[in-house]
Order: sequence, then structure tokens, then C-alpha cells
Amino acid sequence: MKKRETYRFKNILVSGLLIGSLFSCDNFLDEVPDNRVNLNSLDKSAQLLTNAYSVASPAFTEWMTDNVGFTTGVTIRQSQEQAYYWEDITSGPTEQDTPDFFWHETYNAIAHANEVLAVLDDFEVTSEEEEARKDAIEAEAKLTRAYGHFMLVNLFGEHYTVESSGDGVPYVKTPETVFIETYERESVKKVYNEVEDDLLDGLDKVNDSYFGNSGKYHFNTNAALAFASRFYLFKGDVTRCIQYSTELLGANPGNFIRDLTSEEFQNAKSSITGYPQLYTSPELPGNFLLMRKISLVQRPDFGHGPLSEFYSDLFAASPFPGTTDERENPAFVKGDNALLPVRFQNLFERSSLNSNVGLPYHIAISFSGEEVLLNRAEAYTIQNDLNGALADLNVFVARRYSGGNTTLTFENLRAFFGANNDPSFTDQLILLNYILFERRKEFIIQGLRWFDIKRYGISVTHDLSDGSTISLAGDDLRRILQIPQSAIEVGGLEPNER
Amino acid sequence: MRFLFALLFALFSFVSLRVSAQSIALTGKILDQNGEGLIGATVQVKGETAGTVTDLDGAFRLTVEQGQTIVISMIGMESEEYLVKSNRPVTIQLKEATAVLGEVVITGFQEVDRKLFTGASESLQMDDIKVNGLTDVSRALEGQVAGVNVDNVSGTFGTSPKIRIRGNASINGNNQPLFVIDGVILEDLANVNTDDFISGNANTLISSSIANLNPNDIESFQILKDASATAIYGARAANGVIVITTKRGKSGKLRVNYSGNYSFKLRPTYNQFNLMNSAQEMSVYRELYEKGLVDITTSVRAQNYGAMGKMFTQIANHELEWGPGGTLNEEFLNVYENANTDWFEVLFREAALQQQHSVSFTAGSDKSNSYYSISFLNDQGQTIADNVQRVTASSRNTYFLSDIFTFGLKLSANYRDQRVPGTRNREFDPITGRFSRNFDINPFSYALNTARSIRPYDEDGNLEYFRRNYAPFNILEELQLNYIDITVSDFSAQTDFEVNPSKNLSFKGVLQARYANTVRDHTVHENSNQAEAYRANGTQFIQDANNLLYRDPDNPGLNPVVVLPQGGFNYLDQSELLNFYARISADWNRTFAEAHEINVLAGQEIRFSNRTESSTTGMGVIYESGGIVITDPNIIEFFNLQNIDYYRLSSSKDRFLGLFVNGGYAYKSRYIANFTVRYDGSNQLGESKAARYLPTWNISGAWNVTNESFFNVPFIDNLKLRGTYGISGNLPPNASALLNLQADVTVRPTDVEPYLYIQDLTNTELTWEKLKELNVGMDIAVLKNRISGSFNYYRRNAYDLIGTVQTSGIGGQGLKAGNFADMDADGFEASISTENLKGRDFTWRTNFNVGYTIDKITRLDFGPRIADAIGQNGAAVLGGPRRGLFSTKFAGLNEEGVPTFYDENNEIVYQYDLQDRASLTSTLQYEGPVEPRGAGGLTNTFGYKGFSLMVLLSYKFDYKIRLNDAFYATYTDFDALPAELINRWAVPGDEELTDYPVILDRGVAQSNGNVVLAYQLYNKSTARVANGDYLRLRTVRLSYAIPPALIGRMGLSSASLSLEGQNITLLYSDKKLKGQDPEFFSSGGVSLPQPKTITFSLNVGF
Repeated sequence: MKKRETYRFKNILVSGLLIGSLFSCDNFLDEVPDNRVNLNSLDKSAQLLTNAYSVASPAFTEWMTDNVGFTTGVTIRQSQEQAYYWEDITSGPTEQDTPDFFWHETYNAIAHANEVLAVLDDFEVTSEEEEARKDAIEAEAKLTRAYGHFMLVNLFGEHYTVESSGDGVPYVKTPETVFIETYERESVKKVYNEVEDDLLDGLDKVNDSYFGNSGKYHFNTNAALAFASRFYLFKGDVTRCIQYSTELLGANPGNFIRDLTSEEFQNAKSSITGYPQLYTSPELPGNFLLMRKISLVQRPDFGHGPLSEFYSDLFAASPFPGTTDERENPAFVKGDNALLPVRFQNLFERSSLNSNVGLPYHIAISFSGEEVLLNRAEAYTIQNDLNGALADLNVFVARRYSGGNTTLTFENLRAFFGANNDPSFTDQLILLNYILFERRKEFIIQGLRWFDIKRYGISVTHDLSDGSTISLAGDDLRRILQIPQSAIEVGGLEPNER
Repeated sequence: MRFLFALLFALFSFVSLRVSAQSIALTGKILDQNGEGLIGATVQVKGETAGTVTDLDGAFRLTVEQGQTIVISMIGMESEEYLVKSNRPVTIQLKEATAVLGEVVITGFQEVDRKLFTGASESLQMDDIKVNGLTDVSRALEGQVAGVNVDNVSGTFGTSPKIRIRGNASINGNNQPLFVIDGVILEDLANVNTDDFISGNANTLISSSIANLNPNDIESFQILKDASATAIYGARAANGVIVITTKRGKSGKLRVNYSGNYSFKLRPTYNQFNLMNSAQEMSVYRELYEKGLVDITTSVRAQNYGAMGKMFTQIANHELEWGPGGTLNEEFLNVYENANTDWFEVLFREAALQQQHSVSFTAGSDKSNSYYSISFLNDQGQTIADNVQRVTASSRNTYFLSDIFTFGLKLSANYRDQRVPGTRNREFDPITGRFSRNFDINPFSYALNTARSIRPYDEDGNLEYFRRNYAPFNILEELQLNYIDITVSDFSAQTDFEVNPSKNLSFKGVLQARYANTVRDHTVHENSNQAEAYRANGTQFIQDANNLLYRDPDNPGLNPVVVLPQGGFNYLDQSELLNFYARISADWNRTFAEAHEINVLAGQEIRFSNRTESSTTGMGVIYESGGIVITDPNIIEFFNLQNIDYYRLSSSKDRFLGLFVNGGYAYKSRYIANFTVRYDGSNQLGESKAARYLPTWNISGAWNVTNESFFNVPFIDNLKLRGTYGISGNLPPNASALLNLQADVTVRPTDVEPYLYIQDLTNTELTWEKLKELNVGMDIAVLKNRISGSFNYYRRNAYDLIGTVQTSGIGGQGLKAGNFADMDADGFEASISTENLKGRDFTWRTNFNVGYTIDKITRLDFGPRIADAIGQNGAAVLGGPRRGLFSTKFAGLNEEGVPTFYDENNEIVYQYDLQDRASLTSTLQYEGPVEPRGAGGLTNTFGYKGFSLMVLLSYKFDYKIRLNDAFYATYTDFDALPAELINRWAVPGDEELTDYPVILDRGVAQSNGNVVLAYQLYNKSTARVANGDYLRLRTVRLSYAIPPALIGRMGLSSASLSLEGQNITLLYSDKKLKGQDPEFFSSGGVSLPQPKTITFSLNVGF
């Protein structure tokens, strides 16, 4: 009797404990373990997007272009040397200015956008104001996602053509939630389509009213239009390129072109810190999108640079004899035999006050008025609207050259290219060449030259220390950067052919 | 209601049994060892529930049948049995149960008869291992238990020793065992990673909760080692469990015990180290001068300088003349050449006194017993810059409310007030592979690293200043002006209750609440060097060089400006811990047919802890004016630009619950089988059900061979074979199952705004780190228990360990921490105790133990950088131990005296790519584990009448040590210089004779950065490694217990005196260490080695 009673008592107690705890424990264990931020509001979504901009600069590609030559007296890291030789760059993702770094940091930026997009629809919006805010956030997320993939596909895939079916990169639209995920490369064409979808959604909903500060570190309307301008130019859809460029530039494109001949810029030239501050200032209307980039490219003490002779020749050349190209100076002396234009402030984030360790960074201009204007001129040219192109170029050159007549005409262009007696050199071709020439000068050591080289199949020659040279032909497969080793091994991607 | 009913029922049946037995009325008295009556002792008829308890005089009266045996028992006393032959009154004296406890294994959840215990565990009585004068009891375990390895990586009060039981169960996670005090898991005050114990950072001072305990309150330790022993702790027990039981009250009259220790910590001396004296230093400085490394131009702009720099600066300021003909001013230098400052004498106390006083009161009756204690520790400090006071108070009461209900209440409080030299956290420089610490004024590091030609005082006895951080510096003044005050307050209240509704069944419950608050208040006085360094802008050179000056980004042309024009800093770090713990369990035992013993334990526990940490920086605090603050707005800007937070807040919340069932079966105490199943949940692993819960289990068995009827070997008293197999777990470190977004503020010149970033992506697959363990063991006792031993062999397979993996990066996180690593370990433990002599007056006992574990990482996809692997702490590399030490391959000096190295292709180079991971094993030389594989101790105890002499040797073996950095491309006249430099490369051809590199010419040093980096590699090379093996004379203690006859006259019940030496000498260690303590990591900050200590102690009982 007693025994049985005890057993029952115990059974009840133990099962009571078990049942009670199973009911309550899940709630008990739902407590968030630390002060991590819960992504549960529009404000926080917007803050997460603030980091959806890659810290990796595409400007490392300059080391593969014809802008640089064999520079001595500087530190050349292995990755920088490999870039110069168009070898597959083997340094891992922790080394800045490498394809791996670009890949990892850009996908990291994309992940931020995807986390926001994954939860955005779950937020309850109760007012029109909130609805508009939500649309603005969605637009920024999609634009950053599109921009990230766009840059990746242009580096790691072949250049887009209508029939292009080569492998691009994975287009990631959802957050990764498992430890090791495998991915597949989508075709360049498919990636472009996806970019276009996101870009158009973004353009549709983009709204500048919610950005604090200048809004220049976010995809504002102008930045989105500038992106569309570049996207459709690269895609070969010149009509759309012109459409979006014009929407952005409006009636007075000159407003968006920094005037290097102005007193303000002239006065700033005396200071190697003041000049870049002005150049990259968020106040300038032509700086559409600024991004912080962790990079050594703008440092005069690392990597190959434009050789002094080449640099002087490049800026001395113009269709306007006797004028000065205001882009030539100020310039840093780089190593023993190179120069580097002073455009960007070399900043350094120390890991602590007295530390000599930290991250080298600069503020880069990811989209500018100059690019959009030159994009449109190029699109006009392709459309054979040569006067349209010439008009745009005239707006541009007036703010670059000083000390003489800077009116651009087919005559002085023809003279400049020495093609007066060459009928095969059409006006269209001449304009195209001139646009590429101005782009080269305008964006030197900013990372756009590589894409032009790729777009137009320009071959590149690099000289070596012993005087010999190596070349990269227009169709060389090495123009398509190799997929990072870890993405091949862990992510299951197909490597690019070599 | 049911509960009450059951209680009543049980009571009722109890009464009815009593009535049914009738024969003789036995009376008697139960006494303690001192002949005092024992109150509340239980007198029971063996095998029945009938019984009584003794009254205030220890007397009892019980009705028994003739021929029955009565059992007299009491908590804390050895039980006695008595065969009733007649009704003559009996007097029975009980012994204190020190020996009995050895027969019981206290798991913290239950007490298990040693004979029926199937796991590997070891119990230690505090009295046996006590080290007088030791403030942190966990350190007393060194050399005492096979398989338990205690590394005193720092000796500073409050720092935690590295304790490892059976090696390591985790690669990147915590490897400290779980501490359990009176059944409750002891939470650490702050989460400090085991690898960071050696960091010397200020938070290491609150890494040990054990340091808050009064050693005199502790009764015993139980070390639970294998999976079976720890199974009941489930998912957090992979590293073993140390169960600490504190003292309880005892029945009887009030007893008072006083114990006092006076310890003298001896000062280290230069004899132990191999450093140059000041005359030798000066000759090196002359060479620096000749090589153009130190001269008048470099001195005025030098960050740090000593005698030579001071001379040049004074010449530059026209306060001093050149020597004849523009030579060095020999008269000036001569003073410093002969200074030969003994920094140990300046900074360390000759015999620093540490006092510990502890008073305890015990009393009890049949209704309750109590234990109260208070203790006070006052440590004057080894150095002039540290001291500690600690007060502890504890009370533990047990109330026997009825035969079936017992209620306990334990309250404890302790308070610590500690001062240490001011320090900031150290940093790792991945470029050079070195750790550095700004403004380090650790006295031990200072004494070893500062030139002996520098003087603390000038001829007139005034403080003498040299330069450090571009500002005047004097260590004595700096230690006065730059210090951290730490206060720790720790309170806990605990109740235990036990209900025994029947003989076979008991319910136990424990409830604890604990609150601890730690404040670290770092004063950087306005006159301190650390504050003055912010104002060092004397010359253009200094303005350009001083990182602590602010360049206004809006006015780039301007000179850098001072951002701390007045005042100093106040760094205030505060951390709080709030912890609740509750457990309830039911324990049921029954023996059927006198042969089958069955035991079932089931229950659940819940843990709740919240930690908050905040830190603030007061900028421009003027201490002399009562602490007013004048903050320059530029300093905020300055900090923002460099992403330095002047305020930080973080909190963590830990929620944990577990359900457990343990069952045991024994057949005639011969065959024992045991199982445990536990189901744990934690909030640390996110929402996924698969991740947050972990079932663990264990099965074990034992065979008591000596209980077999066929076993008839007369000289073997006990032989038991054991085997266990099971799984335990460990919370995964540094990994998150939930999306982890963290907030920060953008670092850019304009448009500063807050942002969120992804720290960790969601990882729904994250799970606990797990450990499978197989243990086979044997316990044996022979020759009337004169020799007893215990042997264990184990194989451990730790899997699902957290490792870092390089991912495709496409998901957004290039490096992910996940369950991606495995580690195997094999090892054995042996311990032997012998009673070599057991005479009437003379006894000699020996204890020997050894533990040895080899661990090997069998899966780890992503290795460390070369920079990580060459440091003191080693790195985890596939195929190697948890932390393996790697060296650069030294290839001798080149023809210019510069060190060279072999690269992976055996070519001679000056520099490796320290960021490289892939070629690590081919580039570097693997030296061995940095953590000792083997460790143990040998204790000999001799007793003669009241005298007792104890000698403990502890040893560790099979590991490697990186020697402290000593060689540089160039030296300053501020740095101490290693004596080896005397034999440095001087002229071509010396490379055949010496391995000590040349001091570089200025031109070479400036033109070739790789050559300078070669010196960093040299410090991490095969030439700078020593064996860690050592044998240490840990403790020698002579004690004398004054005979009762003598003390009785003084009204005392016991008294003893002892004199002991601690940490006396290294009997064996690698000669290459040259004084470097193999246990101690000299990392500056707050770390100090364990001193040699002499302790006198007195114990008196009333």
C-alpha cells in the first residue's frame, strides 16, 4: 500500500516536472543571448543598408591596364605583381585589392541587402508615410544588390553581348541560413537580366527624402540613374542609356561636371589633403555616390603606377594645342619613376590610438556626373547622333582644359588623331576613340579603364624590369578574372577557363 | 495535496513500526572525539527505520531487541555500529568523518557510495592539499590529481590559472572545467576566453570566481573526470567538473576556530635572468652611436630615450656641454654607466607581507546546525604597485525540521578591493606577429625590459625623468599616477531542502540567487606620462611623429593639435552578474533480497544569468581639482575618426535548462551498471529546436572483483574494474545560430551615421560541441590498504567542434565559424598512494600521480596565419595538438650578421609572408604543443608525533615554450639588453661563431625593411624555443600540532603551527629558459609571476 502510493507520488511529480518544463522551456530559451540588434523595424533596415556598399574597390584592376608601367622604388605586394602579369591572383580574401577581396566584400554587401529584403514584407505599415519609407528602403536594397552583382559579373564573367551565354556569377536573392551552402553560376545574360529587374524596381521606388546628411553614401535618385546609364551602356542598349542619362543630366549637364578650371579647384591645388577633400566632397553635385574603400591603390608607396613619362604625355595630349589639362596636377611622386594623380585622401583607420596597425582607406566616387555625360556621348556616338555627342563633349572639355580655345570640333579631333587623310577613320570612330581617351584621362587609377579595355577588346602591353614586354590580347581569357579558389572548392562553382 | 498525504502516510507508517518492536530499553551517550556529548546524532536499529536522536547531552534511549545492531550516525561523523548484548548503558565515541567522505563520491547532485561509483573521479580533502597563504584554492590542485593540469599563467590575485582535466575538449572554446560549489554551478564574473588568460589585460583579474572564496571554508574537492562522472552535468561537462563542498555546522557545543597566515613573498633578483649590467649596456649604446642610430638629431625626436638620449637632448638644449672636441660627454655618461639600477629592488618589496585571518564558528543541536565564518585577506603586494584586501563572510545553516524534512540556508558575501598598475588591452599586430601594449607599466615587465643605466632617482634623491611616449617618464611616479582600482562585491543566497517521505525516497531542491558587481576604475592622472603623452608637441619632429595629436581634417594644412590640453583620463569599466539557479530532483533507492540495489535519480535544473558590461572614458579629468572634467571637443572628434568608443555597453543573457535521469543497479556490490540520460537546452544556439537542445547519455559498469566469493587473494583488499562510454557537450564558442547584427558608427570624414553590420549569418545547423569518451579504469588496494592505486586509460573523440572555415563568400560571410572540426585525444592517468611507514610515532606516506594526454586535431579545414602560429600561444593546425608551437626556420646569420631563414623551398630569405595560411606547415618548423601533455605531482608526508613534514614536487613535461622576444634590429637606450648580445655578430666571419644577430647600421635599417622584419622572425625562430619540461619544488611544509595535554591548560581544543615554503625552486628546467618561468607568460599589463613565498600559519580551536 505504502509502496504503491510512493511510486505514484513520484511518478506524478516527475512527469509533472517533465511536462511543466517542456511547456515552459521553449519560452524560457527564446531570450536573445546578447545585445545583438533585432531586425524588426524600418529604421534598422535602413541602417543595415548603410553597410550594403562594398568596401572593396574595383580600382585594383588598374594594375592590369595600360595606365601603369613597371614602377621601381615602391613596395609591390605579391598580388599586385600578379595583377601586373595578368596571372591568377592567389592572395586570399583578407588581402585588399584582389579579386578574392572584391568577391567576398561585394557579396557581403549583397547579403546586407538580402537580409533587409527578406524581412521587409513582414513589417506592418500603418500609414502612407511608412509605406513610402518602406518603398524607399526596398529601392535602396535592390539597387545595392543590383550594383554588387553588376560589378561582379563584369569582373568575373565575359563582357555582355546579346548572344552572351558565358558563365557569370551566382545572383543571390535570399540570405544564407546554413553553414556551408553551394551555389551555381548563372550566365552573364541571366545576371544582366536580374540586375535589370532589380535596377528598374529600384528606379521605380527610389526616394531621397529619407537619407540623413548629404545622402551621397546611399543609392539616391541620381546615383540610381547614373547606374542605369552605365548598365545600359554596358548592355549595349544605347537608347535607354541616353534616356536615363538625360533624365539625370537635365537641361544643364554642366552642373554635374566639376569645373577643374574654376578658382575653387585652382586654389585647392596647393594642398594634397585639401584637393582630394574638395574632389570627393559630398557637396559637389556631380558626386552621385561615394563609398568608403579599403585599398592601397591610391597610395603612392604601393604597386605599379603610371610612369612619369607616360603620365606627362597622356595629359599633354589634347585636341587643343597650348591648353593645360587641369587633371594632370596635383600629382604625387610615386616610387622612382611614376606619378599618381592626387584625387583621393589616403586615410587610415587605426585599430587603436597608438597603434600602427589599421585599415588604409579612401572615399571613392562610384558614380559621377562626368561618367554619365561621357556615357551619353558614347551612346549618342553609337546611335550615330554625332552632334549630340560633340555637344556633350564640349560641355565636358570646357571644364577640363584651360588657357586657350577649348571648343571641340570634328576638325580639331581629326587633326588630333592625325586622320585628316584617312577616310576609313569615320567621324563616329574618331569620336569613340576620343571618348575612350577622355575616359582614360578622367578616370585614371579609379578602376573604369579595365572595363573599357574589356568592352572594346583593347590589347594591353606591360613592360618588365629587363626591358622586355608582355601583352594581353583583346580576346585573352585572362580578361575574365578567375573565380576565388574557395568559391570553387567550397561553393561548388565552375572555374573560368584558362 | 498529494504531497501532504504522502508525507502523513509515511509518518504514520513510521510510528506503527516503532510500536511493533519491543524488548530492552537501551540507554547511552554519544560523544565526539573530545569527549563532548553530541547533540542530534541518529541512533537507529540496523536494517529498520526505528530510531531516535540524542539530546543536548548526547544521551539517548532506544528500545531494541537483544542481538540487534544499532547504527549511530551523524552528518560529518563516521557512523558506528554497536551490537546490543544487554541493556547496560553504552558510551560511544564518534570520529569526525574526514575519512568517510573518501568513500563517498559527491557529484553535486547526489552522494554515491564509492563502491557503487563507476566513473573516474578523485576526492581530495582540503586539509590534505591545503596550501597556507594561497588565496585562490583552485591553484592548490596543482600536482595533486592525476590528469588535472594547473598552469599558473599569471600569479596576480584574481587571475584564473589554466586548469585542464584530461587535456582539451575544444579547439577554440572554453577548456576550463565546470566549478560546482555545494551543488550549484559557479558562474564566472566575466566571460574571459581561456586563451586570453595569458593576455595580462585587466579583465583577467576578474576571470576567477574561485578567488572570491575563503579557502578555510572549503571542506573537500571532488574531481569528476570521465564521461560517467560528469554525465549528470550533461552538456557543459566535457571539460570535467570540480565539485567543491564547503564546511557545514556540526552538532555539539559552539566551537570556534581561528586560522591565520603570514606570508612573505620574496623579491625576484637579476641573478635569475640573463641581462646586461649598465656598463655593458653603455658599450652597446656607444655602438648605437657609432652606427648613427642614436645621436643628437635622433634623440630630440625619439619616442623613448634613456641616458644617451638624455645627454644629447641636454646638449641640444644647451644645458650640457659636449665632451672635449665634440665627443660624448663621458662625465655625464659615466654616472649612468655605473648606475646598475636594480629595478626589482626599486619596484618590488623585499618581503611583501600577505596576511589571511579567518574565524569560524560551528554549533548545532538536533534541530539545527550552523557554520559561520569571516575572513580577511590583506596582501601588501609583491610590487609597490599592487595590493589586495578581501573580506569574506559566509553562513551555512541546516534545520532538521522533522525526520523527513531538512532545510538549509547558505548566505555568502565577499568583497575585494584591489589595486594594480594601470594598463590598456594589448593588441596583436598581424604584420609583425607581435603583441603590443601601449603605456605598459607592469613592474615585472618593466624590470626585465628597462635599461639598468636608467635611474629612478638622481644624485640628490629626486625623481629622475627620461623620455617615454615623447613625454617625461619616471616609473615610480607613473605607478603613483596611473593605476586601476578594482572592487568586486559578490553576494549569494542559497537554500537547500530535502524531503525524505520514506526510507527509499528523497526529494532534494536547491535554489540560489547571486549578484556580483565588479568595478575597474582606471585613473590616469593629469601628471602621468600617459596623459602628458597627449600633450607632447614640443618640437616639429614630435608633432609629426606623435599619433596622439589630432590633425583637423577640415584644416589639413595646420599642425596637429593637442586634444587633451588639461587633465587625464578616467576609464571606468563595470560589470554585473545576476544569476539564478534552481534544481529539483528525486532520488529513489532500494535493495531487493539483499542483493539487488537499485537507485534512480531524476530531476531538472534551470539556470538564468544576465551579465552587463559597460565602460566609459572620462576625458580631461583633473584629479587635483577634485575630479572636475574639462573635455576638449576635438578629442571626441579625434576618437570618432579612429573609431574609438568612449562609451560601450554590452549585455549577455544565458538561459539554460536540463532534465536528467540517472539509474544504477548493483548486484551484491559486485556488478554495477549505471546509465545517465540528460536533455539540455540553451538559448545560446538560437531558435532551431535541433540546435538548442542536446541529449547526452552515458553508460558505465564496474566489477568489484574482491567481492566475488571465488576471489581469494589475501593481499589484495580491493580490486575494481570500471568502464564507461558516453557523450557530453560544450556550448559552441564564438558562433551564432541566429542572425547576429551589430551596430557601429561609420568611419569616414563626413556623413557620419550609425549603421548595422552582419556579424554572423544565420546558421540553422549550428550545434553543441560534443565529446565521446571511453574510459577504462582500475582501482586497487593491497597489503591492508597500505598501497592503493587508481589507473585510467581514456580515448576521447571531440567532434562537431567549432572551427573556422573559408566559405565561398557568396552568402556574404567569407569566414564562418561552425561545427567543422574534430579532435581526438588519448591519455592515461595513474595515481598511487603508499603508506611506507606506519609506526606508533613515525609515519611516512607518499602520493604519486601522473597524467598524460596527446590530443590531435583530425579535422580543421582552415588553418591559422603564419603570424598566429609563431606566437607564444601557438595555434591549432590540422594534425597537430590543440595549440602547437611553430618556429621560423633559422638559417644562421648572413655575412652581415643579419638573421636568415629557410622558406618552404629551402631557399634563404629574410622574410615570410606572415599572412599566409596555405604554406604554414611547409614553411614553419613544428616544435610541439604549447600546453603540457603530461603533468603530475609527488607528495611525501612524514609524521613524527605532532610534527609533520610535507614535500610536494610538481612537474610537467612534453611541451615547448617560445622564449620572450629579446633581439631587435636596433635598440634604444631605454631597453634592457639580453646578455647574449655580448656575443653578437660584430665583424664578418662572426656568423660562423655566433647566432646572435648584429645591431644594424642606420642606413641598412632604413633602406631595407625586410632586414628589419628578419629580427622579428628571429625572435620566433627555431633558435628561440625551449623545452617546457620542469620539476618544481612546489611546497615544503613543516607543521606541528600541539598536544592536547598542553593546550588543554590554555583552554584550547586544538592548536597547530606550520611553516611552509611555496614555489621554492625549479629543480629542473631547460637551461635555455635563462630564468624565464616555464609556467608564466610575461605579457605585461597586470600579469605577475607566482612569487616564492614563505608562510607561517597558526590554527587554534576553542
